[in-house]
Amino acid sequence: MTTQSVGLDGQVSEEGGIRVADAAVAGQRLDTDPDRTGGLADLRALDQGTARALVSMTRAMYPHDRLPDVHYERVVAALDEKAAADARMRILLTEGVGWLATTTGRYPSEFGGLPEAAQVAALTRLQETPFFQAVAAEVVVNLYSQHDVWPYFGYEGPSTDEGGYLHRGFDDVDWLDDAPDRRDAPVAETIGDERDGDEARIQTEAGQARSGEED
Amino acid sequence: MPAPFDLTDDSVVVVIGSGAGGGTLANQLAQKGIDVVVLEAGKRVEPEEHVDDEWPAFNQLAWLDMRTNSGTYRLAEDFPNLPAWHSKCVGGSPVHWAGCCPRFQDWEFRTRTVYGEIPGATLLDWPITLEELEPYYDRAEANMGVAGTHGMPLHQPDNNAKVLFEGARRMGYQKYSTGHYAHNSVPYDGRPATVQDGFCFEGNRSRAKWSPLVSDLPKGEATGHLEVRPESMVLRIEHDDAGRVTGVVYADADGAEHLQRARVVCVAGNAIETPRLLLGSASNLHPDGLANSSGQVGRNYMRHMSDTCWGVFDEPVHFYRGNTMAGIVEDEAYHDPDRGFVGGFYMETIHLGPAFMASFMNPHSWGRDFTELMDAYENFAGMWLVGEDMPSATNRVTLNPDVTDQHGLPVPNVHFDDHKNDIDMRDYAADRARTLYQAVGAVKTIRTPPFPASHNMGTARMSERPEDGVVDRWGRAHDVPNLFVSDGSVFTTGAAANPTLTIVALAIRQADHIAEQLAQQAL
Ligand SMILES: Cc1cc2nc3c(=O)[nH]c(=O)nc-3n(C[C@H](O)[C@H](O)[C@H](O)COP(=O)(O)OP(=O)(O)OC[C@H]3O[C@@H](n4cnc5c(N)ncnc54)[C@H](O)[C@@H]3O)c2cc1C
Repeated sequence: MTTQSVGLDGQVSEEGGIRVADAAVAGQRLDTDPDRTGGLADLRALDQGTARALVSMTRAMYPHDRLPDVHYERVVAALDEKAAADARMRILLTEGVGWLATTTGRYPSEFGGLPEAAQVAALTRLQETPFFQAVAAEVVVNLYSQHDVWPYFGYEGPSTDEGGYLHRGFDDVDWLDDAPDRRDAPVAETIGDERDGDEARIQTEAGQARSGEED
Repeated sequence: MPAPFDLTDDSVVVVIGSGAGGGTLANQLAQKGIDVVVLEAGKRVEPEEHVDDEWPAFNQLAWLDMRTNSGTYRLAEDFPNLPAWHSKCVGGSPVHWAGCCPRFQDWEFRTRTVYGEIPGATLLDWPITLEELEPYYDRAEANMGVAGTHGMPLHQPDNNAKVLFEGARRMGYQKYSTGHYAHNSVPYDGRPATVQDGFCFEGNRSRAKWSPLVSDLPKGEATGHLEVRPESMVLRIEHDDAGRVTGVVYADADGAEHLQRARVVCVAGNAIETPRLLLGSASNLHPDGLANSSGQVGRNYMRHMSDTCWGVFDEPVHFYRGNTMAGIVEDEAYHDPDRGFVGGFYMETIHLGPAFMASFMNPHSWGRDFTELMDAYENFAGMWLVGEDMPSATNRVTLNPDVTDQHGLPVPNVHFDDHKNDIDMRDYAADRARTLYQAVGAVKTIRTPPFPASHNMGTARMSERPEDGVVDRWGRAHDVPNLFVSDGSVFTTGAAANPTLTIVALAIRQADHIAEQLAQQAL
């Protein structure tokens, strides 16, 4: 990996869970290489077909319809860089794209064209694999750190050099007086449940979310 | 002799770690004319070099050395190598911190008495009282510059705080404000007023936020009595046959080892590295680790009850504009067993940028459930729930013999199981938080599991009796006359309050005591 190592030598990376130190390094790489265009023209370890399939896969895993492909391509370019530095990563990604093909019964190049439900079904079957988790960790850290995706989320980013937000709306929220009281309304709750590590429980009815004992 | 000091100079006080505890202590001693060498594992990153960008800043400032995690708590699964979030840099974790500065309440020093015996918990009364600490709280606030105290005005509420306040008002809460916050609301102590930059967790380019990096350390250095040696990782503490510590061995940036002699050693490496260093300094005289005749070193590790609630609203909040945690509701910080748990908690504003939000909001989540929430980012408000957690003998820091770090030392393993009380408080607090945001129109809420611990406490706890803890009422090791612990490790119990103000107050008090003892030739 072409990153500055920060005393990470000898660290073991465990499967499952986001390896935050890796994440930090990925973040730094973005910072030190702002010219990265995201093009998949000069891949170093992966072939075009694998890389393209990964672009479709990352989008299917983290679908933001407003985001152009270039942002997902950058994630895959970063995976390619890791694969170039670490043969195990290259094998994991290449095999993983193979699993995607097996699971869907389609060529990897067709994954992006499958109906969303079919994509999700395949990904759900793969979600516990180290392949899926390595890709997920990269997307989570890399995609949302790209400065030019932030406008899509309404985030304005670095501020100190602009004088902070003091004169740029730090206290401009103006709808509070008119905000409805929704204490008795059905309000969706997403719970990252701390007692089992399974997928979030999504509850869409207030009645369900706030069971009798909690009330 | 003016700083820098010689390795063989055995008249110096060596302070290990330059954070809230160590940085404060070092400056207080230097101001009294006592020569101090601070050994700090991290680099000196001046504010001009800080970056308003989450992962790069984290990488620049955070402790990333290898650690392992075990136990049944969710974090062991989500972040197997990151039990805690604290700094490795000159100035320590206050370079990363937000600045919330509540004081402990009086009964929080006496929880064994007030809560009674709780199975699975190792509650113990502190050997000191609020009354004793109050003058030092005053000095700590004045030293740091805490808005809302000593004449410094409170901060103006930012968007996130305004949402919190309106929700709090509708809930019937009384005590909500931007709170005591160690970040200048007006120019103070040669540092400017806040520009509401929103990057408290990423250092602070403007110096408006207190940390030893911008305050205590340069002040101490100006006296000629303080030398700060960055990139100096202390590997072990040495002692003589009489049981007095004589110096410390540290590795410099190139890995070369040096022995710095010392008259007094003060350990302030934060509550994971401090016990690790004590355990790693075992000897014939101290077979279970230095200052560990009680067996308490590393035990009673506390990280605070922690939960986070994000409210998603119909309209934009832009919660990332403004001071990260200047917004607090104090109404729930009381003790009433009728709520189903002991101890209290605070609600404090928090925001994350998209980068951290994606990593922490709901680890392992993916698909449209996840991205639809991220797409609503601009309409988020957020609060962090922080409350007292129970010390437990089995929640502990140990040395992991199977994994070594870049220095060849066994890494610390953090074992943690949530006490039933923590879970009950967390569920209650999460429900209050969700209700508060609904009261002000939230269309969705999100409950985020605990982050890697930013509040680490209790692993070298203060006790009246030597068999109950590691240090006495001054932070001096029960077993070793010239060894002190000067950070959050000394907390006997954790209270609901964010810990740093108390760490700083204790460090100022300890400096007075050490100076007195040195003057009396008692050290
Ligand atoms: C993001 C974030 C936000 C926070 N917000 C708040 C808040 O709002 N309010 C609050 O009260 N607290 C807050 N905290 C917590 C606060 O920063 C800590 O409680 C406090 O800094 C702990 O002080 P300490 O002296 O124990 O350790 P630290 O400040 O962490 O200092 C320890 C230092 O010791 C060094 N060190 C460790 N081991 C060695 C060794 N062997 N040799 C040499 N050096 C060593 C480390 O590199 C580090 O610099 C926050 C923390 C974080 C990370």
